[in-house]
Formats: sequence, C-alpha cells, structure tokens
Amino acid sequence: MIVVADDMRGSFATSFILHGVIFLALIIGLPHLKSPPLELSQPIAVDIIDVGPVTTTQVQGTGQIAKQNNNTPAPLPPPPKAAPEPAKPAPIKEQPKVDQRKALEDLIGNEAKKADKAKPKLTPKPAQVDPQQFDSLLKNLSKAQDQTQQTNAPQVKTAGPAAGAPGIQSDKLTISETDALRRQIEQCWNVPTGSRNAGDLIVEIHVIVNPDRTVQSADIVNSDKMLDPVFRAAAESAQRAILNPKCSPLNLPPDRSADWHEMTLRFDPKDVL
Amino acid sequence: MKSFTQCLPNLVCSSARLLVCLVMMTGAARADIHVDITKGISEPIPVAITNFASSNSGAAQVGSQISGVVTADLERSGLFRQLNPSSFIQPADQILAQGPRLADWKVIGAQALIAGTVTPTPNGMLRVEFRLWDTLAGDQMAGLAYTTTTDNWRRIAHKIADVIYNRITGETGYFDTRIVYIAESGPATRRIKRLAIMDQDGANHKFLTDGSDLVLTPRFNPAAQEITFMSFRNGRPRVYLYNLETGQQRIMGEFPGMTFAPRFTPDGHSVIFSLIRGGNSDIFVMDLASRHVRQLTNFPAINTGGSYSPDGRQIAFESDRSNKQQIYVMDADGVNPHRISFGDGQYGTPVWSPRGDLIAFTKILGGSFYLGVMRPDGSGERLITQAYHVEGPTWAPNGRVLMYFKEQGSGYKMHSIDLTGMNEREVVTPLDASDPAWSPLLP
Repeated sequence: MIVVADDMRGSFATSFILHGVIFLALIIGLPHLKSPPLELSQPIAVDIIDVGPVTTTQVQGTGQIAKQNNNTPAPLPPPPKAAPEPAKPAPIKEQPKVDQRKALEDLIGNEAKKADKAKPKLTPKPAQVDPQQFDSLLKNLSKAQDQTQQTNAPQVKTAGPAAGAPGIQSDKLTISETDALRRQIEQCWNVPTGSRNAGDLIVEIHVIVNPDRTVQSADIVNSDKMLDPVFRAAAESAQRAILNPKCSPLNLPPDRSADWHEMTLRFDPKDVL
Repeated sequence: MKSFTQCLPNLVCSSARLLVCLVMMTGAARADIHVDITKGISEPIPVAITNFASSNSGAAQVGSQISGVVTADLERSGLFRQLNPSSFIQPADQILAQGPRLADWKVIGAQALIAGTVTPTPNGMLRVEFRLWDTLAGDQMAGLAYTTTTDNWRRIAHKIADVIYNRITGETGYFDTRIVYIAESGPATRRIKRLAIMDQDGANHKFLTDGSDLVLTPRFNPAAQEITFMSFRNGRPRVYLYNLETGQQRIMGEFPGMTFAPRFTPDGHSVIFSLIRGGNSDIFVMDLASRHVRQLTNFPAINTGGSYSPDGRQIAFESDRSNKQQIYVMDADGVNPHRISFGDGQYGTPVWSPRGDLIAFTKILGGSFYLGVMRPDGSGERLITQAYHVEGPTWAPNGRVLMYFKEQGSGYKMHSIDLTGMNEREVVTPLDASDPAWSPLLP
C-alpha cells in the first residue's frame, strides 16, 4: 500500500492550481485565439489560353483598334475551346481600395489635395510622327499628302498587327514567335514598288522548313498567275525574301520543329505603296 | 465468336475512317501557320555581272565593254547594284563552260548572276551570248544569243540589259532607246537652241539642227523613229516633222495662227497640237496621211498640252477654263471634258504614261515647281521632285522612269527619276539641255 505524505499532497494541489491558472491565462490573455476566423479572399479564375490567333502588340501606342484588311478579309480566329471568359474582379474586392484611398486622403488632408490640384495637369502631347517611319516606300513631297499620311499613319502602322491579327493564324506559334518571323522576312523582302498595280500583287509562298530552320523549299502557291511577267517578278521577289541568306535560319523556336515544318507566307505590299 | 471474314469489313471500314482522319489532320496541320508580310524594303538587287569572256583578245575587249554598258544601264535604273568584281569567286570563262557554282555566288551576296561570251564568226560578225541565273532559286532565268557587227556592240549591250531588267522586274526594259532634246548655249539674250539626239545613256550624241532657228518642244513618235517639234523658221512658229531615218523635215501644215505643243497619237498616225486663233487657244488633231484636221476643244480659254492615253481613247490636257490652270481629261473625240486636278496650285503639262496607269504633270505651288504623278481619275497625287523651275516631263517607253529638265545654276539640265520618286540623277549632256523626249524602243 502506498502512503502519500501530507506535504507531498499539498505540492500536488499547488501544481494543479498553477497549471489551471496558466491555462486560463492562455485562454483569456492571447487575443488571437478569440479572433474571428480569417476571411479567405474570393478566388479569381485565371485562364491560360493560347495567344497565337490574335495579336495586339503593334496596336500599343496607337490607341486605335486594329482594323481588318477590307480587301483581303482573313478568317476570324477560332474561338478558344471551352475557355471561359476571365472572371471579372468581384465588386467587393474593389471596395477596400476605395476605402483605403479615402482613408489615405483623409490622412493627407486637404492641403495635400490642394497641392495636387495646383500641379499643372500633364496633357499627352500629340505624337510626333517621324517621316522616316512612314511605311510607304513611295516618295511624296506634297505637304498636304504628308498630313494625310500622318493622319493615316496609325492605320498603316496597325496594318501590321491588324494584318497580324487575321494574318497570323497559328495554333503552333505564339504571337511573339510569329512576329519575330515576320519582322525577319520583312527585312529581306524587296518590295516591287514601281510595278503596275503593285498593290494588287499579292503572293503566297508555301514554305517547308528543315529542322535546322533553313528553308527546304519555297513554292509559289498562286502559280496560275505566273504567265503575267509582272506578277512573276513579284512572286520571285517574295521567293527571294525567303531564300535570302540574310534570313537564314528562320527566326523560329528551335526546339519545336514539328510545329513549323510547313507554313504559308502571304506577301501583300499595298500597305507600303 | 465472329469469324475473321465477318470482322474484315469492319476492320476495313475502321481503317478507312482512320485514314480519312489522318488526311484531314495532315491538311489541317499544313494550313496551320499563315503569316502576312505587309512591310518590306526597297533597295537595289545585288547582282554579279562578269566580263563577257572570249578566247579572242579583240573580242574579249568588246566583251568587257559590253558588260560595262550592261552594268551601267542596270545600275542607272536604281534597281540593281553590281557587286565588287574582286569578290567574284568563279572566272567568267568557267561559268559558261562548267556551269555556275550558284551556292558560292549566293554566299557573296549575289541574287542574280550574269555571264556571257563573245565569239567572232567566220563572216566578221560577233556572236554575243549571255545567261542570267537566279542564284537563290538556283534557276536559269534567261539565255539569249545575238549576232551583229562589231560596231553595234553598244546596242547589243542595251538589249541584254533590257532582257535582264524585264526578266527580273517584269517591266519592259528601256535601255535600247534614244533621247531627243534641246541643246542650249550662248548668253540669255542670244540663246542658241539646237535639236540634239543621243542614246539614253548619253552615248552617240549629235545635233540635228544648226541653231539658226529657234526650236522647241520636240516629241517622239511612239511608233516610229520620227519626231515633231516647233520651230520659228522664217520668224513663223510652226510645227514640223523630222524623220530620223531619212533626215527629211516637213511642215505639218499651214494654219491661220500659231501652232504649238505638238504630240503624236499613240499609233503615230496623227498629231495633236494647239492653235492660237483670235486670242483663243484650242486643241486640234491632224491625220498625217489625209491632212484632215479636227477641232477637239472649243472653249473661250487656254486649252493646250494634249496627251493621249496609250489606248488612244482619252486625252489629258491643261486649261484655265475654271480661272486657274488645271488638268482635264476628255474623250478622244473631244466630248466629256472633266477636271481631274483639285489640289492647291496650278497644274500643267500633263503627259500620259505609256503604261496608262499614271499622268505626269508639273505643278506651281508656293513659288516652287514640282513634278508629280496622279492616276487618270486624279487620285493618288504624288509630288516626286521640286526645284525653282521644273518642266517638260517625258516617260520612258516602259512607263517606269521620267525625264525632265530643271533650272540649275545659270542654265538647264535634264534629270531622270523613277516614278517611285527615288533614284533622281542628272542626265549628262555636253551643253545645257531642256525639253527631253524619250523614244520608243529601237527596232
């Protein structure tokens, strides 16, 4: 039989009471244990979609919506497969920002707001159009014509991306990759500017590319027009652009040769005439 | 359990479906990447023109001269650039004998290769052969041979340049042509003006008149080696015809008034001109064979400078009937005149392109003269050069290049310019030069 001494019994009681006090202090004293549960922010759905069919890169800065080419309507990019529209931010998410701004304004006070108002407003300067940036390869000394061209310049500039939007039809290359290829070929295409009806000389070249990104073959697709010597010259100028050593190897992603083994390049000079 | 023969049709059907799917997928993959190229550059095409080779030393010298003229023609067009011959990687005689190493020519930057030979024939003639290759595509684009007398080597060179130009640009060449113009000399108070003619590159220059009579506005017959011009012979301004092959001159006709601004119809059978009568200027056309004259305009204003469209159906002319000098177009029978120039300034000297797609004109605006082009409906106006005084545009027979004259220092000089507005350059002449007229291609 075990016999517990009286003093030992007292120590046990004291220890029990002290542990109880500590436990109560933890419950009462630490506020976080009483704080309401965290509100989890509303999840925002983000869809990763292929940007290949549409580009807006060259629209930046022009402030204009890329216009489609009326003369050569290209098929619209296919709608993304089962891709839900990106979720719009919930209104309740915008509200805290307003509140924060209001609180900040209150904190800064009216003086700061007056100082803000006293600052001259920065108005965007009209874009300075560099005549060298005109896309037209035809000379024109007429000031009136120049003004017209300046007015039209954004349209011409957007002709690239606009043409890119309908013209880049690829689910194999991203917009950046396609633009890189296009910019490369543009540096090698000697446009037949002075030919009769040069704006109508649209040439399509079917290109087969080797895995090392060199051109295996570049065949003129609309070869039925080759009896016309002017068209033939235009077609051969497009073909030379692709076969030009300056444009070899092609600016294509090296590790995805299966994606760009075949392609069709469409040379349309009317925007530079 | 089904037997194999029972399953066979299903297997075949499934295989066929699979094949169709694969074909469709392949087709879809082929059409996957489409890229629009909507911008480019405009610069001369780099070409390699080798000396035309020959085993005969005399013929080799002619071959070198021929390649020199071909090179100069093509470079003057502004569309071609000869590569430095020191970079050529294959001797000229090897090219035709063994074939060109196009891959090597491509490496030095040549997009086209031209090589030829000159061979004396037993009857004292020269056989000139040339070939043109596309170094990038690896194809021969043209190959021709000419036989001619030795002293005709320049024309052979021009013809070769025409073939190369035509094959690469698609446009007809214009190098085997001539220019007739007014050569001017002497002080301003006693200016001597002579009709002169030369090849388009300035070679074979000669004077057609001695300067005793004032001559103006020579114009070539588009269909023959004949010119019409205005002369003040015996103090009377009249229109003359000059046959360049026979040297014969004749007055176009006697009219009760001053005749000026002559120009041939596209078929060369008639001449359109202006006639001042009773203080009024109107446009007439005369059939050179029958001498029948027909009045085309009848309006109390200045109507002059008629120029036919290449199909002969319309005429561009200048008139101040709207109180300001402007360009009008009417049908060939004089009906349906309508104004086509509506910009600021005054428009004059319309000249219809042989290609038919453009009308060249001069324009006075803000104290300066401009040379410009517009479409026959007046749209697409472009001013391509400017000077204190620019006048007398004339088209190359291919409608690609314009020649004109402008005041330069104390005198006039002729210049040529591509219709794109690029490649403006002076046409070198022994004396001051004005009023150029470009011939058709020589026969």
